[in-house]
Amino acid sequence: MNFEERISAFMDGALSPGEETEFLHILSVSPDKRALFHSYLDQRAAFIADARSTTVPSHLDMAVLGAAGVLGAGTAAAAASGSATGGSVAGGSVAGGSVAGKAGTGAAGMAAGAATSGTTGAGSMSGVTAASWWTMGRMLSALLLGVALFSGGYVLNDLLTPAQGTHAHDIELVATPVEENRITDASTEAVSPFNGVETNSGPVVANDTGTEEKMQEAATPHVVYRNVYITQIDTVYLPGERTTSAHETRAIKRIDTVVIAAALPPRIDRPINIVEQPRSSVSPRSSGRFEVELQREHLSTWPYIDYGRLGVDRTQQQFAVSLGYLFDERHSAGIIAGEKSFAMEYYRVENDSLFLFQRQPALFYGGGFYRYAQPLFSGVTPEVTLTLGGCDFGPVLGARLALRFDPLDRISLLIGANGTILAYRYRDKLFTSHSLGLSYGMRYRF
Amino acid sequence: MLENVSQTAMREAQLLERIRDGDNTAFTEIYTGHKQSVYLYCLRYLGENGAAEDVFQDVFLGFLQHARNGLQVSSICAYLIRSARNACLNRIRDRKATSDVYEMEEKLADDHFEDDATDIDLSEALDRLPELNREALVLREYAGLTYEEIAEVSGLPTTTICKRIYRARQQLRRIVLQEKRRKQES
Repeated sequence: MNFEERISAFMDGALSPGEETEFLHILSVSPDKRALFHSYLDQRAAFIADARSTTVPSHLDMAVLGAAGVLGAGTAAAAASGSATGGSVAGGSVAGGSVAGKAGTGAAGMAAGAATSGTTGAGSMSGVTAASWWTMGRMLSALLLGVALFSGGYVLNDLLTPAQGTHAHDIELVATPVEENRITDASTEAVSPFNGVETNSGPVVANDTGTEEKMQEAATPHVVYRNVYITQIDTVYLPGERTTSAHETRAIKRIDTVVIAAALPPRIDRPINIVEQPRSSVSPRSSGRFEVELQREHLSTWPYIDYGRLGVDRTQQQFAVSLGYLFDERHSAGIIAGEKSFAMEYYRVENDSLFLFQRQPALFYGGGFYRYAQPLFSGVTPEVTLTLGGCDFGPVLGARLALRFDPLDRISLLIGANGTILAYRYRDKLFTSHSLGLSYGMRYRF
Repeated sequence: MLENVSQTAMREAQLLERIRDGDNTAFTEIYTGHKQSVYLYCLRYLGENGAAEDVFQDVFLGFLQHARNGLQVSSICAYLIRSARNACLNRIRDRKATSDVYEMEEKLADDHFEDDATDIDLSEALDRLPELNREALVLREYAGLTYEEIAEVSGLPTTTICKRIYRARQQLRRIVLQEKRRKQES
C-alpha cells in the first residue's frame, strides 16, 4: 500500500489503529506528504461543496410523493412551496445521520459528509499535532500537579496551624463581675461582632433571691476568646497581679484595647482575668539553617522496554545529593544533583517506515528544588519536594512526597515516593520518559 | 458502534413494517432521508439530469412497491443505491451500443482516463474518470456508503473497492492539477 492509498484509506476510516498512528507520524515528519494529504482534503471539500449545492428538484419530490399517495391534491401546492426549501431540509435530515446510521462512516450522506469531512480533516491534522504535543501536555500536567501540591500545603497549613499572632500563645480572657452579678443577654451578644470569638458562657441567671454566692459564681461569664490577636500589649492596663495554681493570672481593671473593650457591656466596670496558657505548638526544629541529604531510589518503574529483545544494559543508578537552606520551619530550597535512569523510547521515519529505538541510560542531572514541610506532630513531618533541573538530554521535573522522621536533633530519615519526568528531543520531536520509585534518604542539619 | 448499527437496522425494519401496514409517513421519512444521496448518485453516475431524474423516480417508486409487498433488507440505503446502480447501468447499456456492459466496465476501469482537461468543474472531472472508478467514488463520497456496503452493492470484494476509490481519487487529483497548470500557463 503506497502512501496515497493510505491517505485514501485514512479518509474513509479504513486504517487500523496501528496503521493510523504510523500514518499520522509520517504526516507529522514529512511536509511533502502533508501537502499531498491536504490536496486530498481539498478534493473532499470539493465533494462536500458540490453535494451542498445540489438538491433534489421540487418537481421530483412532487412526482415521487404524489405517486406514492403521500400528497393529496390539496396538499400538492403546499408541498410544492415546501419543496423550495426541500434541499436544505433534506440536507439537514441526512446531516443528522438519522438514516442508515452512517454518521460514523466519515462521509456518509452529502451534508453529513460536509460535517464529518470537516471533522475528519481537522481531526486528522489535530491528531498530527496531538502526537507532537501530547508529551508537552504530560509535562504541563506534572507542573500543575506540583503547583497544586504546593498550594495544598498552604491550605493544610491554614487548617492545621493554631492561631499565630505576635505572641505565640492563645489568650483566654475571663471576665469576673464585681459590681453586678446579673448578666444579661446583651453582654453575651456583645461578643458576637467578633470573628472567631466563641462564648462559653455559663447559664444566665437572675439573682433576685437567696444563694447569692452560688448564683454569682454560676452567673460568672466565662468568655473564651480565641484567635484574638493582641498586637500592642502596652494598651492593656494592669493594676495588679495574682497567681493561680494552674495559670498565671493577671487581673486588670480595664482593657483599653478596642477589640476587647467592645466585648464588655459598657456599663459594667469589672476586672478581667487574663489567663495566658502556653500553646501546644510544634517544637521548633533544632538549630541550623542548612541541610544536606543523600537519597536513593529503588523499586522504580519506567515505561516498558523489552530488555530481552534489545539486549541493552539496564542501568539502574538512582541516587542524589542535595544541599538546602531552611527559610523557616516549613520552607526550604536548594540544589540537587544525582544520577537517574530513564527508559527512552523514540522513533524516526525513514522511507515511509517507522524505526523504533529503546534504551535506558543512567543520566547525570542537576537542578534546584523547593521543599515544603508540614509539621503534624512531633517527630514525623510530611513534606513535598519539587525539583526542576536538567541533564544532557533535556529538562527534568520531579516531585517527591515523603515522611520525615527526626530521631535525633540534627539527623532526619526520609521515606516516600519520587516521580520524575524527563523531556528530550530527537530529530525535532519531543519525547518524554518518566519514572516512579520508592525514595529514601538521610538528612543532616548544620 | 455495533449498537448504533443494530438500532438503525431495528428502526429501518420498523419503517418497512409501517409501510407494509399502509403508513405513508414512513415512506416519507425514508424518502426524506435518502433522496439526496440517491439523487446525487444518479446525477453524478449518469452525468445527465433527465436520466438521473427518471432513475430517481423509478428507484423510490420501485422501493415503495416492494416495501408494501413485504420487502426486508438489512440496509435501506444500500438497497436504494443498489437499485439506482442497476437502473443506471441499464441506462448506460441502452445508451451505448456495447452488448456486454461488464466487458465494457473492465475496459473502462483501467484505460478510459482522459487527461485533456479543459475548463472543468467537479462533475466534469468526475465524468472523465473511468466509469467503474467513478462509480465507487460517487458511492463513497455522495452516497456515503462504507467499503463493505459498496462491495455489497456492486458485488465486488472490499479490496477491489478500496483500490478503485483510491485510483479515482488519484486520477481526479491529477485532473485538477493539470487544470490548475493550464490555467497558470494561460
